[in-house]
Amino acid sequence: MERKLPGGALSSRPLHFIWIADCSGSMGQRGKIQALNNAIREAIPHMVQVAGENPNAQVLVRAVKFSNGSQWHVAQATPMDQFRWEDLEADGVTDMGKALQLVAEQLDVTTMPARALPPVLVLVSDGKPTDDFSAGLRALMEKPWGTKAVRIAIAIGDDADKATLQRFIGHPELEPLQANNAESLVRYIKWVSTAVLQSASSPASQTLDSSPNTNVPLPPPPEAAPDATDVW
Amino acid sequence: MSGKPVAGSGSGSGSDIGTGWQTICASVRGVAHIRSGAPNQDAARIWQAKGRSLPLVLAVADGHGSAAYTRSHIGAAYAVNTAVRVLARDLLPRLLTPNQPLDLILVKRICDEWLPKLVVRRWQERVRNYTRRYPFSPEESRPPGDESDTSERLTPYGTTLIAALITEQFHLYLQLGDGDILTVADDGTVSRPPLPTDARLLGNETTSLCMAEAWHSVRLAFQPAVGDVPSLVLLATDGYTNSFADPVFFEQVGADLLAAIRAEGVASVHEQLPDWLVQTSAAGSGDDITVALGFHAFPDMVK
Repeated sequence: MERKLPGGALSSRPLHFIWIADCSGSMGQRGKIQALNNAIREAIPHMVQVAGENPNAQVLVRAVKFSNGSQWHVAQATPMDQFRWEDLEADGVTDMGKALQLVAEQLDVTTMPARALPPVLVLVSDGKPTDDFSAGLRALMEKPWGTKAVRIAIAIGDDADKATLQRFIGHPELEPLQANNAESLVRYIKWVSTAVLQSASSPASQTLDSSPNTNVPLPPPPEAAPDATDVW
Repeated sequence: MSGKPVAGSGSGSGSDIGTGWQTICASVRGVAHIRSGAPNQDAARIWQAKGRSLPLVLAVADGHGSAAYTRSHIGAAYAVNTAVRVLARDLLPRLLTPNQPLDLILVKRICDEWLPKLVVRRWQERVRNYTRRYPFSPEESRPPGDESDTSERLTPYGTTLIAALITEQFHLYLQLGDGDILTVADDGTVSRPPLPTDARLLGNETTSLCMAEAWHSVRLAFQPAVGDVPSLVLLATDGYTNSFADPVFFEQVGADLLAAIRAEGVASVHEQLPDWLVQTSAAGSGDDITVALGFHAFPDMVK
């Protein structure tokens, strides 16, 4: 019989990945919400593959939706191979600040231990916040894991408030990704789901004062789909 | 440390449990490093005055893995060497004067005021000397906006450092950056030295010897050696604790190693430890793991 290793139960390091999705009424126009649903659903097999290639990170996925208020769309931190995507529906206003507050509640060191890998937060929106975004962002950034999270934003269409999304990202050299058609949205969602997830799954250690962009080195994002027509 | 698992025993692998202080160290390349082609960037060093007697110095270091730290394995090796040199050759002769009683209050004050700056300064001197001998290649590029003198750059050597100085009169623990120190009592109870907590150590970010004014981030714990002296002191890089779901599961390592040494002997643990660490890294963090152990056993524990 193989000898028991010193210490208690072993475990890979948790990596929390959270979609933060705009479900306001405008997302129901010109197929935006369905394009987002399709893009995330298509990305799942790629995420499963990346998670499988990085067995020392335990990828756990959740999703928050916001319109009139905010609530968890997938509340349980779900292992990647068990993650399923139920379609989002669009209706209401854009309470983005409340979504950030909801996420902030989960980024406390009591619920996300110090051994975790920096979480990945992906904010997707086509509009302007209708609630107190600053309060939500403040709540997020008051959490140590909020400041250390990899924060990515995708702007859907020209009406998206890029300045607000830029504040969410918090790094001047990292801009929101602009998706003006379904093909571009698919590209960006896939990039986040693969390249960003890969980097976040095996981040090398670095000093506190050394991160010019994020505390996880990010690969360059893809270009928008070249031949697609802008419809948003 | 090289890419192969490394183990060392300060009392020789053939010797076994007995009186006095003995040591074991091991360092293994993490499975994630093997997958990515990165080397083992940890280092360990042990110094003992003579035989199984005190004083004893243990040191481990964890070179940073991000792309900017191209020489972190060298920085880690210099870190453990610097710790041994400063503690054994600079600090001890100054404190332990023959035929003079030790003033522990004075010792603590000297350590607090003098030690962090000396360790950091010595490490910086040594890596800068290394740079002068082996200048940075064009590939070891500077980050945008860094206009500093190339020969003065410390970032590529970035590393943590953990060290322990164990004497008959006191135990001194020093830590810069992440990683862990455990002490294990004779009955297997595991404790941690009372180092100040550093809330900045989260995820993959750490304080480092390469940071500006790094001595401000050095944490010290000083304990007079009275009462129940630990039977085992363990220093480990963070790849070890990050392999467990809960810190308590990691702390169990200290008790288990002491029990294994007593039950199976020093040579057996020394031989098996690298394999245990490889298995732990594979099922846990994937990171390099380096451990330095100092322990003492009593005659009735001889196998």
